[in-house]
Amino acid sequence: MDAPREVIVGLGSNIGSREALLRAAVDLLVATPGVSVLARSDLYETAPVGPPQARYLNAAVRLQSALDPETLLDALLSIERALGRERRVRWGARTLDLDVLWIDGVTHCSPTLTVPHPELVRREFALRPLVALRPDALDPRDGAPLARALDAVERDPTLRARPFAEAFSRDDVEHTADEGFVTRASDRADLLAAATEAMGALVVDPASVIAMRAVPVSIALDADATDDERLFAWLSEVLYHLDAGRLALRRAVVLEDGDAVRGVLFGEDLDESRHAMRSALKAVTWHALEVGAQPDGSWHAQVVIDV
Amino acid sequence: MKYKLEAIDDVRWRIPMQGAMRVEGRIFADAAMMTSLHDDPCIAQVANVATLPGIVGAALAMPDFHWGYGFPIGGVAAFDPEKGGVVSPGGVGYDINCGVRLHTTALEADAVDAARNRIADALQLAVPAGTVPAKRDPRLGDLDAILADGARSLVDAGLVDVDDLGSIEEGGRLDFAEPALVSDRARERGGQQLGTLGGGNHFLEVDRVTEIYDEALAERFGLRLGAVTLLVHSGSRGLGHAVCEELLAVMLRASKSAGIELPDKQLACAPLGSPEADRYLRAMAAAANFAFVNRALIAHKAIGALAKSTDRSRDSVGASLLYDVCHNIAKFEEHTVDGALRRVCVHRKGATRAFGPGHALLPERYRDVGQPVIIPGDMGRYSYVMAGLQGAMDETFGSACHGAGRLLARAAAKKASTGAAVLKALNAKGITLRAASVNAIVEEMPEAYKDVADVVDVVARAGLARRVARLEPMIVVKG
Repeated sequence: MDAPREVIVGLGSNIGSREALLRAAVDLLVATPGVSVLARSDLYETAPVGPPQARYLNAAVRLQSALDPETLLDALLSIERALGRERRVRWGARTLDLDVLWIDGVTHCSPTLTVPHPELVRREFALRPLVALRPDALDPRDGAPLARALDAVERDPTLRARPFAEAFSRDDVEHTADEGFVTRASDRADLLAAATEAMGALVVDPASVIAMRAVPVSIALDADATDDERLFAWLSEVLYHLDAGRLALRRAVVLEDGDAVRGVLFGEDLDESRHAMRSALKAVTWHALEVGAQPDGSWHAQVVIDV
Repeated sequence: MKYKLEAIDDVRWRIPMQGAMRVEGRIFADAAMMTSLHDDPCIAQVANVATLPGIVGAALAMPDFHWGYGFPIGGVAAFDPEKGGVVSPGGVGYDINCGVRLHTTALEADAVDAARNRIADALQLAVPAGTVPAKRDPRLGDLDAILADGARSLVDAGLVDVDDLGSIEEGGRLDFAEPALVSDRARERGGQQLGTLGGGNHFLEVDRVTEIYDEALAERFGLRLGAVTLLVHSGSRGLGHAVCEELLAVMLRASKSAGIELPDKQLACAPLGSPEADRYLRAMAAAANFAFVNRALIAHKAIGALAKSTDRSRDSVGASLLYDVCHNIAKFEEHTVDGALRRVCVHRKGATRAFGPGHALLPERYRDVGQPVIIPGDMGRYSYVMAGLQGAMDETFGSACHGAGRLLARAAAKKASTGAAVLKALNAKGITLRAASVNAIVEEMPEAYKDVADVVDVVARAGLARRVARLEPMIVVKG
């Protein structure tokens, strides 16, 4: 491709901190040379296709890029790998799936990539965010408006849309001597990511940090570990990496939330002269620690950190 | 649960035994403080400490006490190993041996005033603060020697004067430290932080003496009106935090297996004499020794910066150690309990040892007058030097308050003011500030703290310690 064209990339996740993973994927797209991210869609909670597995979170981003389709695909695959994707089962569960859904005016067919995506017009979870981002998009094969395909597609009655915010919601906890936060997410794995990001934001304003360094983190848990023990152990491990590893945190993702918790911290080397510094953290405390599912199904955590 | 409170006199309050309490709670505070504490959770925290096994005397709270995790900050409690007593990391806190170190100098306030910006810059450059790490001083011995021997490990390198060791609590070395119990991770966190202030309420201050309350004692302490002093407030940094965190997990399991009912997980504890208690105390002591070294190194670097920025030799700064005390510590001490001398494990969390005159553990130079007690206030007002009294030996296991005590939560302080406004107000008072972050300025603004004069007043009226001198800040470096 010589002239820049608009591209719609579909994002999906059904393992780990799905929302955090999609947000991290957008971050990595923004950082990809030759790609400009123009907009992102809402988040769509959808039913899985294929073998029985957990529900998906889907979204799409609208890009401008002069990269040829195969080079763009390579960039997407490397983002998938950076965010923990292991390709095992076709249509199986994944931490992150990135697909080139559509390139304005382009049809492309090779053993590795077909554009438009061959399933695009049959999948509501791909078509809906695409049409939301580009209501005027045409199918390059026949010139038909893709919005019309949305009328014909088989509907997922369980699909739920919500805004794709810049970050998880978080508020300060007022505790006399220490710092703390309250944060919320749609499930436990995302809550772990949300709490990680909230803790990182106590040290450095994440807006002043770029995701250049990836630090893998993992902990093993007792089989009978409670949710508060899980969050406490995870955040304590993260705090060690922030302090000993001098990491300024931008984003966090959780790839596995079972007997072990695994994730990746994204950020850069702490540079006090450039980063917007806040507090030096001592330790995560049990004080006023709260974790749990709310009546509406969302997850909530309150954490006090000794500073 | 709401606790019943009774006034004993105008500076003493009792939480009578109720519920699972094994001893009563005793709060040192005036009526105004108690009114402002109405319904505050820190009262329940005093009562919670009173439920722990083997506690003797009373669960104590100093007038600067406030809500901590588990134990209140400003809390003192002693446990008797013969009565099933326990040790609890929550009674020490994450910043093991956070404390203060005060040096007198031969500098005059006018000379410092004239060079205040140069001095402030030199101090900030010499002593890393906030999250900034330190370059390792090549004169330092290996970390194991530091963890085992504390301030004593600095003597051969000429970083600490051997004659000064007596002016550090416990001689600057807890002899029950076991360096092997400090994990690689704790060493990794702390290793790069030796000789750094850290954040939160830690600071480095150049003060001047503005008031003398007791001429004879002030002279003994080397304090005279208009003289310049150097005050360091820091602790065991990431190493101590990691030790506390790791051992808290061990203690949670120990509490469970000892069948100890915990009203709060941060009160996790183990019976004195058990392997878990022993492990905590030995690791804590190693972290405490690290903190003694940290404060000594900070002071050493600061004195060098004072010399350089005032164009004089290190010797002519005339820095002399007045005293170095722990604010967060647990250790065995001998105290009279119910008329008998007992060896008890005293926990001080945000409290200062304040041994009275005649105590055998005091260095000769202070033995007849009582231990110097250093009470830092907020960065905009003043700090106090006091001397321990027999009253502390009789009532508080030889302890007094440790500072002003926070009034406003950090989040509330950020809503109440801005860094620029706080800085302007400090400058108007003639205080030069250097800070690692805007957050540090606004969270630590003077209005976020109680007036330390009120705290000190209660301690003096209760007969725990007497006032010697007041110090006012000229230059403040914040983490």
